Formats: sequence, structure tokens, C-alpha cells
Amino acid sequence: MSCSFLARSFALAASCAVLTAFAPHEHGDSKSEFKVEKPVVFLDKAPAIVKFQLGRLSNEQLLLVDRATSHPKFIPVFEAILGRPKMLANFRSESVSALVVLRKTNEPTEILTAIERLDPEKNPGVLPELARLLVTQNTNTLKKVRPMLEQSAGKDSPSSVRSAALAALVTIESAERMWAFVQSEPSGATALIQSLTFVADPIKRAAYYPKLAPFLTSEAISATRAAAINAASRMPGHEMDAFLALTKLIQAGVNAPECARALAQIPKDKWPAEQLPALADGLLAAAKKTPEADRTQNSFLDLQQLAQDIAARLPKENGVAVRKSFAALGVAVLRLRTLHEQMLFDKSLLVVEAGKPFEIVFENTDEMPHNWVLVSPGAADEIGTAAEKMSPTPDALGRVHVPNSQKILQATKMLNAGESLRLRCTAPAKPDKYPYLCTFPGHSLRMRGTLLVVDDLEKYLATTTTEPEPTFTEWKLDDLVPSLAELSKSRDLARGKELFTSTGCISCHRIGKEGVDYGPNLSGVFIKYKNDGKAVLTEIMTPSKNIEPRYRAHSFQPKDGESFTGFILDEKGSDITIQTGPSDALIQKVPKNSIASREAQPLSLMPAGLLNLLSKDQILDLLAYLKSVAR
Amino acid sequence: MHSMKMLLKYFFTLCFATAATAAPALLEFKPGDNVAILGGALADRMQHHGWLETFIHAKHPNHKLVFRNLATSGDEVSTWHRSENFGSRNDWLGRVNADVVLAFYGYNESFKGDAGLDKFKTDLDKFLKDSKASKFNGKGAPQLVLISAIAQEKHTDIDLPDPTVNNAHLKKYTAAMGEVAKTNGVPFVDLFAVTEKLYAARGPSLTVNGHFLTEAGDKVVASALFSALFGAAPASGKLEALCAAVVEKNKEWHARYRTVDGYNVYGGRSKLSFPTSKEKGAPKITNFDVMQQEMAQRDAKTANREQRVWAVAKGGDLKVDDSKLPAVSTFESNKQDIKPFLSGEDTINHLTAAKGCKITLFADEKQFPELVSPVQMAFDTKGRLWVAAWPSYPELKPTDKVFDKLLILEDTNNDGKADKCTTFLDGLNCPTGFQFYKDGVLVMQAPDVWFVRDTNGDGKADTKERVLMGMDSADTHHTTNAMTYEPGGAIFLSDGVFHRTQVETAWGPIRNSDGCIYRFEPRTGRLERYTPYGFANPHGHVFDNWGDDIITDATGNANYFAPAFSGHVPYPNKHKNMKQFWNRPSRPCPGTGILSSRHFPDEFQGNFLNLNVISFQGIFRAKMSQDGSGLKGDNLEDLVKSDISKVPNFRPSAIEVAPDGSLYFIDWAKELIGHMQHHIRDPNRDKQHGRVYRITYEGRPLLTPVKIDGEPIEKLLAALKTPEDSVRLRAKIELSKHPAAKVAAATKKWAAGLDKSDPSYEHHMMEALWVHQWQHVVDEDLLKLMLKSPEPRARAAATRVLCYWRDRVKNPLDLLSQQIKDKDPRVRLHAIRACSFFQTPKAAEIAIEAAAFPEQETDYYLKYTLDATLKTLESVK
Repeated sequence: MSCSFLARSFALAASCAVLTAFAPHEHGDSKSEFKVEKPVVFLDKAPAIVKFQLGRLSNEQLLLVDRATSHPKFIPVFEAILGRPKMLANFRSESVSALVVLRKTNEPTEILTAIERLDPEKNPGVLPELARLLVTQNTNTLKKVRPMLEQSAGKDSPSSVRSAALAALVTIESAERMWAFVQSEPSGATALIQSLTFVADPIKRAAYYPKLAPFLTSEAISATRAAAINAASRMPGHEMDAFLALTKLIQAGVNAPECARALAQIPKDKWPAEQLPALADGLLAAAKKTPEADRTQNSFLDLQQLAQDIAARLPKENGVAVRKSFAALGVAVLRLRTLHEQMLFDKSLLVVEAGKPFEIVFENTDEMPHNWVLVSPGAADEIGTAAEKMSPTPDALGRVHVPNSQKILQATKMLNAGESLRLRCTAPAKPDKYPYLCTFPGHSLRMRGTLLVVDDLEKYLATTTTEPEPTFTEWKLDDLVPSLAELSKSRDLARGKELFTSTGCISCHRIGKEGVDYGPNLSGVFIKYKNDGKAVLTEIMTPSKNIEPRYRAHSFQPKDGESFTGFILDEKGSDITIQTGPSDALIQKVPKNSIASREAQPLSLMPAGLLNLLSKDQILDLLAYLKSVAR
Repeated sequence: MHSMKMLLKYFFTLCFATAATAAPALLEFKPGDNVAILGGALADRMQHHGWLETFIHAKHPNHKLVFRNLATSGDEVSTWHRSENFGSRNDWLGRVNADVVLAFYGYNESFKGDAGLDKFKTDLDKFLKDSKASKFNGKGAPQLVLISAIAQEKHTDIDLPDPTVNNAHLKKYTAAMGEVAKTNGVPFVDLFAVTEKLYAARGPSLTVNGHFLTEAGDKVVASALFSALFGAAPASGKLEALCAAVVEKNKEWHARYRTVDGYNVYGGRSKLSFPTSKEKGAPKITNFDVMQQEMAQRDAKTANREQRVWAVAKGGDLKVDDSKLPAVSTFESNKQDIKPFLSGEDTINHLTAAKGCKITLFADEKQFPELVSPVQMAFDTKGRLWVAAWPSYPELKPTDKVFDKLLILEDTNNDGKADKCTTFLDGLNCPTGFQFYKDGVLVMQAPDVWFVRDTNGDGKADTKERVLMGMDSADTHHTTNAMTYEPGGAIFLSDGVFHRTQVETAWGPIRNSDGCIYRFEPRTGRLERYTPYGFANPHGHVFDNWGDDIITDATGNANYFAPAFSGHVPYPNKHKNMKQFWNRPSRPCPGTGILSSRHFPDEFQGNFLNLNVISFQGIFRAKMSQDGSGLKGDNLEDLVKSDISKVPNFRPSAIEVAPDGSLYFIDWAKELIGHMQHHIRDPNRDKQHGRVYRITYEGRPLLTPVKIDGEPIEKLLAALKTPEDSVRLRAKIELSKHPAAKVAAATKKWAAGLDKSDPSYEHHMMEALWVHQWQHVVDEDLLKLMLKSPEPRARAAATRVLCYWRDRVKNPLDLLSQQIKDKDPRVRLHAIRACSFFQTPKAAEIAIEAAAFPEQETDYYLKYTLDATLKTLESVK
């Protein structure tokens, strides 16, 4: 649950006064003494020394350093906040405003200066955020500084500054004028096309399709073509044209992996069915050209991934042929990703041949830690339960939440957001269905899949066309709110109760005697929200929006060992009481002085997409069940 | 023991008054009572001295009392720092069926000062209540007696610390104990007041170092304790025979309760199992199975010696009979294909030395059968080679008749071959490390470090004293080893994983879990964690000619630039992972050296020598150079390599430069070496071989050994100009036999007379500063001079001296704020490191000044060290 029953919005001091220390939990009703200690920072030292000191601080510590618009010595503090990865957007905005006051400049100038200060190698994630901050400035503000933006968009600017400035100009100029503007020098068109990724408005973006289309050919200059391929995938209204152009490039053997990646971004319902066989052939040809040694690399896997998605949409025989052809390339590499905010693997079925070696590329593309644990047939529940009861102490291989059991056949370490690893395995000798799961506390009930071990992979492929994928709907609040009226009618409460378990709610929440006390107790949740179904639904669908202090996840870096995540239950005295998973056994006291650093996590431990596996009817049944237990 | 009579005289004049008041007995024994003793070093040492038990047995000759000392140096009432699966305090009180518990607490606790008093009282109260509610003997509540710490003595040795502050705390803690004991109705003995009076009588020191009682001190304090317990003075008369029997029994008990290799006897690796024969499907046997049978033998041997104690207490005697010990299982080796050994001479045919170098045999087991499994080596000031022999590896069996030894090998006719071997010290178990100190030698004898001397000059040890207690040995394979001097006279102890070391010092208990290098000042008794780090088995630690050190973790042969990760880190924190400075070709490494000898050509000078014993069995050689603030190493031609197919048992384990400039190295000489891959008691563990080889450079003359032993101060100072590191080290060891004040005065004169145009002038001056440090005499002017030396390495070395003199010079932080701005990165690194030792935020403000230099962002070691220092200082308010 979204943990926000008692949450209040954080009051932020006005930017002109000295901003008091940001302590997210001081507004909570909880009596916990949560406090990251204010660091000692000497701001009156030489610039290099000040920069060094601020550079060492975590985001949370940095926000505790005094800052005000009353003295220029605070400039480095605002600059540091502005350039930090994973900084909440409101602090970036605040810092821009403060720098404007301190240096008597304007917002776009400060943002572009901040972009210029970035080290793109170290923090590639900050540039898009600052660019977004720039393009979402008030149009009039941007228009006022047009000459400055135009200058920053020139060829002498660093490419990051240039991209952001061009994106800002795109939001205030017509496509024609912009196109003319960049013609003054050869790299201009490329830079403009690249900048489109920063343009938030899809209509503005789409206006450039006619401009970039000529570059989607094998004759085009490669840098411009690469930019155009990337931009072509996000052009509402031009999906068909883009699809055809990208397919042609693949057929010509030009930038095939990049094109495959771009094609995968185009919504599948826009894929022209009649083009799919030709595209599949093109992919196969490109794949065959890939040297065998490189066939475990990402660029090859991109081709393979797209081919499989296409095969699933081809007539059975064609699909089988495509899959067999790819399988014949002889490298069994399975790519498995995690779905963003869904608490799911992207594939619920992987197929390998008994006794044969294969390689799994596991990429955690979610914001939460996940692992991949392959277990003996029928052992998923046992291992999942055992893992959740473990304290996050690494085993001999440095893995957390991996029980010592012979039923575990393979297990990766816990991957943090954005991490990936490759694991070479040999398939079990006995054909069977081997479950895999994520054993991070709270995940194992829901986050599962099957490794199907078959005697003869070729035979299997010849008889099976589609691989089941989790089918889900990316529900938005507005899709569901109109139907909430139906809650008052009679609904299938038994099914709602079942869904409470199968959707995984029960892994973290309690209703009556069932479930666990990890997230908030949901008995009576509708009463708390005054029977407002929309409020409850909002909490489920945007769990990170308001987080009650008690349920704010913190990541802890012990002085010795792997980091772990948990809730702070109490921190009076010299210990902190931390709950690291959905079991009372995982409540532990840790001496404060054993923790090197800790950081409050911006995201709730509950992912936003938990309802996406359900139909509207099912969601209503689940809500009705929650409502029924409130009575 | 001429001082004993004097002491007793003082004691009795003092304490007759106490005895005359004849308080009622606090304790009454029933026949057959089992007495458990708990506490820190005071109680721990009592088992080795034996007087308390002796006095009690003498008073109860028919009681057949059983004493089991469960004390461990460093213990507190609420701590129990032991290796995995050792068993809790209550487990052990149950195992010994304690009817009576004598609990000695308060010393280690007192270092928490006023802030810790309340918690101490709470903990003590809980301990007393819990114990009273327990039935350790299975029948009823134990009789408890609570006994305070002794006062800390103002020792006659001026190098030892002033006890004033500690005693103020001890006094409060003693009072607190009295209160808690009273509210719980538990008898209490105040040894603090007793010892304060004894010290005030100004007799000879009762302690070794201010807080460890000497054997004579133990007798006096045990007597006072006895009087307090029983309301009457102990029996007079000759109790030496009884005491000897008690000590003999305790020795066996100590070997059982504090057995070395605990991780393999009861901990994690005791579970490893091995087939009992090569037959298919043969049953398996674990380390635990066998080692617990050995523990049963130790129990039986202890009981046998107890019988003798009872017999002697009654005025008779008894011959100890160990013929009926419980059986220990036998089994076959899991490594059957052991290749027959070639002789030491023939082995050389399968060794290849670097171009120009020649290997000859210095000594082997054929000539000296006691030369088996050499583990560490060093040349003494007489130029003799000392070797620690460890035939019992991994450790002694209860029934072993051959013990580990400290041997002295001599080449009396200078033909390059040993012709004499003397056993300096016998009866040892796992002598993993030793180092010369003053007129004796410090020897690692887990869990203690002994200071052993030969006082009558017969070449054999005759006195020993435990000077450090509590170096854990949960895995003997990496028990404290590589005992190395820094140029300023501190000794370093390397300790590996699984260990739970806790050492009692006058600065409080020092604890660590798993690997750590410790820094020990033998003169003051100060011990610190030097490099607490996630080491597996650190086996190599060497200092270069400017006093910077290299630490090698054996398992991965990971070599580290030590100044960067030896700043202060508060317990239990450790240093973060650090990069290795050299891409070593292979692993593992049991020992290292630095080649400093003009017998070898220039390109060998300063080479890092790294011994390797699996897959490559030989000696690597790396060229060292400064890399920013740190070091880098580049591979050179191997110094020694071997043909493993011919001599699989060739395992070079330590290397030293001899007084004549040649290199000596020892050969562990085993084919089967794994302590995890094979059963601890695998019958194919070799107990018969060991070699010492010598490397000379053909066509270059040997050096004329510099005479050190017995030389006057001036000659020894002159020897400090010698380019060979080992000669200067031996000269400083010899200097420490002379009175510090005289040495310091002579050093100042020597330094003043040095030729400033000598290219090595700054190094000589640095030696003058190191001599002062070694002698524990501060010369602030000399320090300040060297902090501004034109030679950056001297400035760096002086900054390190400043770090260790921080409590004894004026305004040390002002001096550091100068060093932090030094243009040389190595100097800044030492200054940043030194800042970590100051308990004030001001130190952080000084340390960050290093960030003004652009290299701070790019230099790995500067970054690492500044980060470590600031992390430490962030916890300082």
C-alpha cells in the first residue's frame, strides 16, 4: 500500500530565507527521531575545497547544509544540488531560483550553465532532467532569452548544452524556422535531431518527421542517420512511415541493432502486419552477419528480441521458422529484464534444452533491487518464504536473500536499479518446469516465471509459436475512476480476496489475520479514506506520491558489508530498529555507529504498476474486497 | 626471585592490620566443588601463576576442588569476544558444572569512564541476577564472588603510562561494583584499594607494565584476595611444589579451553569432511570429529594433573599417568601421491635463479633434524640466523612429544653453510612470529606474545613474560605473524580472518573481528589497530628505507601501499577496499622482502621480493616506483623459479638480507600444504623437512658484516649510515639495550656532527629522529627540522613520526596544517592520514585543505586516504 495515510506534503521554506534543514520526517506523526546528521561543511574555503566537501555528501546530507540567497558563499551548495543525480525536481527548481537571485541572472542561463558543469560520463542521467527543466520553463521566460538560447545552440557549445538549448528553442519556434536556423553549419541538423529526445511535447516532436525522414537511408551521413533512427521511434502519427524506413535500413544491413531498438519502441498495435515477414528476414540476415563471438552481445540480443516479438505476430508456420532460424544460430542467450514499476520479469517463460549450456543476461531495468533465482520444480513457495525470513546478510558469494538450499539451482546477486549481469548456466538434465523468482522480500509471490527445460528445443520450437508474455494494461487513474461507482453494486468479494493474494498484496499487508505487517495494515483502509474509492485507488497506483514516514524506505550502507534497504521503526538511543522485509523476524536493531551512510529513497517499496496484470473487473473486485473488510 | 622476599615483607607489614580484623569468610567450599573463574587479564594470568588456586588448595587439602579458569584477557561483564561457535559464557559455566564462580571484572569496562558507569552497573546487576538464577551444575544456584580490578601501578619504568586518570575511573568502577554486589547480596572483594596500598609502599613493581601482575605480584595479590575470602592469611610454608602442580594442570586446561585453531576445532571449518580412505564410498570424517576427540584427550590430561594437585596439597605426590587417554580416529590421507623429497642440495638442480644469482644450501633437516617447517626467520645482532620451526603444523596434538621450536643457526667458519644449531626455546605450539626486542625476543604463542630472554648467556631461553594477551588464533594458519619493525621501533603483528582478537592495554581493550594488522609499541605497551581491513591471511609486511610499508594478503597475493589505509578507524569499522599497487603474476604469498644490499647490482636495489607457493613456486621480483602519492610495481625477472614437476615440495616462505649482504630464504618444504583442502590431521602432513637456502650474486664481493653486538652507542650510531636497511635495523635493536637518555644525548651529538654535503644527509638525520622515536624520547626541534627537510621522503617520514608523537608535542595540528600544504603528494598523504587520529573537528578542517591541490581529484591514494580520514572524523563531535 502506498503508506501515505498520515502523510502531509512537505512544507518548503521560501527560497529567499535561509532554508532550514530538510528533514522529511519531521512532519510525520511518528515519534521516531529520524535524522540524518547535518554534515560539517566549511563554505569559506577555497572553491576546490568547498567543491570537494560538497561532493562527498549524499543527497540527503547535501540538503542539510545551510543554504540561503543572502550570501554568495552558498552558490556552490545550490550548484551541487542542481547537478546531483536522483535529486528531486523541486530542489533543482529551488536551486535555479536561488542562483538567479544570487547571480542576478535568469533561469535558462542558470540551467544551461549547470548543464555545462555536468560531467556527462559520470552522471548521464542528469542531463535529461536538466533539459526537461529547461524546456518546461515558462514560454515567455524562454522567449525573453532567445538570443542567449540561439548562441548556446551554436556549434561552439558543448554538445550537451547545444542539445538542451535546441530543445528549448524547439518549444518556442516553428519547425521551419528551426530547420533554417541550423542550416548555417554542417552539424546543425544532426544536433537538432538529437535534441528532439529532450522535447517533451509529442506534437512539437512529430513536426520534425518530414525533416528527419530523408536521413533514414543508407546514403545519409552516419551521425545524422543514427540520430534520426533514434528520434523516429517517438513520432506520433508517423509510426507507419518510420516502421517502413527502419525496416528498409535493416534489410540494407545498416544500423540494424539501432533500428531494431527503435522499432521495438514503436507501439506494437501500429506494426503493419504485411511488413513483418520481410522485417523478420532482414533481422535474420543481419543476425547471420554478426560474428559468432559477438552473438552474446547486446546488439545481437536486440535483433533477437525484436525477431521473437515479430514471430509471435506471424502466422504459426512463419513464426516457427523465424524462431528456429534464430535458434540455429547456435547461441542460447536469454535476455531477461525487470519491468519498470511492475514487480515482474519481462518474460514469464524461458525455454532451454536439457543439459545444454546457456547464458542468461539479467538486466534490472526497475528502480527496486531484484535477483533471479532458479529453483527445483515445485520449490518456488518454499524458497520464496525462506528467503523473505532472512536478514540481509550476504552469503559466501555475497548474495542476500538466497537461502542455503539444495533446491536452488542458480541464483544471481541482488541487482540494484540499472545493474545487469550475465550468468553462464547449464540447463538441468531432466526436462521439467523449473520456476524462477525474485527473492527480494515481498516479491516472490508475484515475480515469477518458468524455465521450461525441453528434450529437443528444435522440436519444441516447431510446435510452439508464441511465448506467453505477461499481458498487462498500463492503467491510468482516469481509466478506472469512472467505474468506481460500480463499487456500490454487488461484486465478487471472493475473487477480490483471491486477488489480494495472487496480486501479491498479502506479501506485505495485513487484513485481519491474514498477511504480514510490513506495509500498512489494510483492515479498515476505506474508513481511513472516508469511503473515497478514488483516494484508495490513487494510493495504490501512485504509491510514491505520499509516503508516511514510518514506511519511507531507506538504503543503509553498513561500514562493513553490502548495502540493504528497510524501514526505520525506531531510533532512540544508540541503535536503529530497522525492518528489512515482511516478517517480524526481519526487525533488527543495528548500532548507529555501524552504519556508514543512509539515504531516504524517493520511491516507495511498493511499485506503481501492481494493478496492471488485472482487468478492470478484477480491480473493482479487489477494491470491493478492501471496502468490505472496512466494515 | 630475590625481589620476592622484599615484596612479601612490604606486603605483610601492610596487611597484618587487615588480617587482624579477621572478617568472616565470604566463601565456603564443599568437597568436590567446581570453581569457575571469569574475568580479564588479571584472572587470565592467575592460571599461569597459580597462587590463588595454590593457597585455596592448601587450605582445603581434602576437598578435591576443581578449578577451571574461563577468563580471557579483555573480557568485560557484558562482552564475550570469541571466535565462531566457541560457546557462550553460560555454556562454559555449564560445561564445567560451576558450583562456585569467582568473577573478576571492572578493568576493561572502566575505560568508558563516567559515561559508562550506569551501563556497567546495569550489566553487572543483570549478570549477578542471571547467574544466581542459573544452575550451572544442574543442581542449584552457584556461590558467587565479585572481585574488582587491581589499581594501575605507577611503574618504575618511565616509558609506561601515568596511571592517574585510569585509577580515578577504576576507583569509581570499583565502588560501583561494591554497590551492585551489596544490593544483590553477593560477596565482594575490593582489590583496587588493596593494590593501591601495596603500590604506595614503593617496593619493586608488582606489575609488568602497570596492569599485568608479575608472578611475584600475583602471589602478593592472591594472598590478599585469599585473606579477604577466608578471613585469614593463607598458609605459610613451602607451597612451590603445589603451585607448580597447579600451573602444570592449568597449562593443559589452557591448551584445551583456549585451543588454537578453534575455527577448525569447533568453528566453521570443523565441519569440513574428508573420505577416510580411497575406497569408493568410504565414510567421511570431519575435522570436528577428530579434533573433539583430541579435546577429550586434553580434558583427560587436565583431570590427570588435577589428581596430582590434590595429592601434593595433601603433602604427598603422584606420578601423572596419561596412558589411558580416549582414542583418536585414524584415517587415510586424501593425497596419496606424495612425491619423494629430493635432498636440499639436489633440489637446487631444479631451481633457476635470476641471471647472475647463485643458490646454495645453508641448512636442511638432514644436518639438523630439528629444522622442520620453518615459518619465519631473522638475523640477530650477532649475525646469527633465527628460525621458527613448526613441525606440528597445523598445531600440536595432545600426545605429541616433539614440539615447535625457536632455533638459532650459525655459520661459525664462514663457509656459507650452517654448522651449529641451538634450540633457543622448545615446547612451543605454532610459533608463527617472533622479533628481537632489547636483550630478548618477542615470540607469538597464541593467544599471547611472550617476551623471552636468555639471562645467563647459555644460548637458551630462561625467563618469559606474557606482554600481550588475547591475539586470537582461530586459524593457526594465519595466527599473528610477519612481526616487523618500523624504523621508529614499533612492531607490527599480522592477524587473519575468523579471529576475534581482544587485547588488554593501559589504553583500554583493543578488539577486532577477522583480519587486522596491529601496531605495538613494546616500550609503552600500547597496541592499536593499524590496518583493520578485510584481509584473509596477511603474511607479508615490509618497510622501505624511508619507512613506508607494503602489506601483502597471502591468499590472493594482494599487495597494498599501507600508508594509505592505516589511518585511524574507530572499532568496529574497517578500511574500505583498496586497490593493489602491482599486478602480481600469481598467488598465494607467504612472505615478502625488500632487497637492500650492495652485494647485488644497482638494478636489484629496493626490489620488492614476493614469495609464491602454488602454481609458481618461487620468488617474484618487482621494481618499485613512486606513483603520485603512492606506489606502483613492475615485474622483473623472477629471483627464483622451480620445476614443480621435480620439486613439488619447494615452498619458499620467508626471505631476509644477511649481514654479509647475501639473501637467505627458508623453504617450508611440503607437498601437501592446504589446511582446508586436507584434513587438519591428514597423516601425510610432513613433519620432517625444512631448508634454508642462500642467494649470492656471482662476481660481486660479499659485504663485510658491520659489528653490532656489544658495540658502544657511538659505533651503533655510525652504523646508521650503512645503506643496508637490515644493518640499521639491527643497530637500533642493539641501541635499545642502552639507557634511552644516553642514546638520545649521543644521537643529538652525532646528528650535529654529520656532514651536510653527504648526499644521504637527510636520511641520516631521519635515522636520528627514528632513534628518538625508538627510545621514546621526544625531540621537538629535530622533528620540526625534519618536517621541513628538503627531501620529500624525509618530510613524509617525519609527518608519520609526528602522528605517533601527537600527544607529546605542542600544537601538533598546527604542524599538520603546514604538512597538508606540502607540495609533495606523499607528504600530504601522511598529513591526511595523521589527521584521522585527532578527536577534534579541527582535524577535518585541516585535512580538507589537501583538496586545494588538483591532484586530490586524480590521485587514487590521496582520494582514498582523505575519504577514510573524513569518514573517521565525521563521527567526532
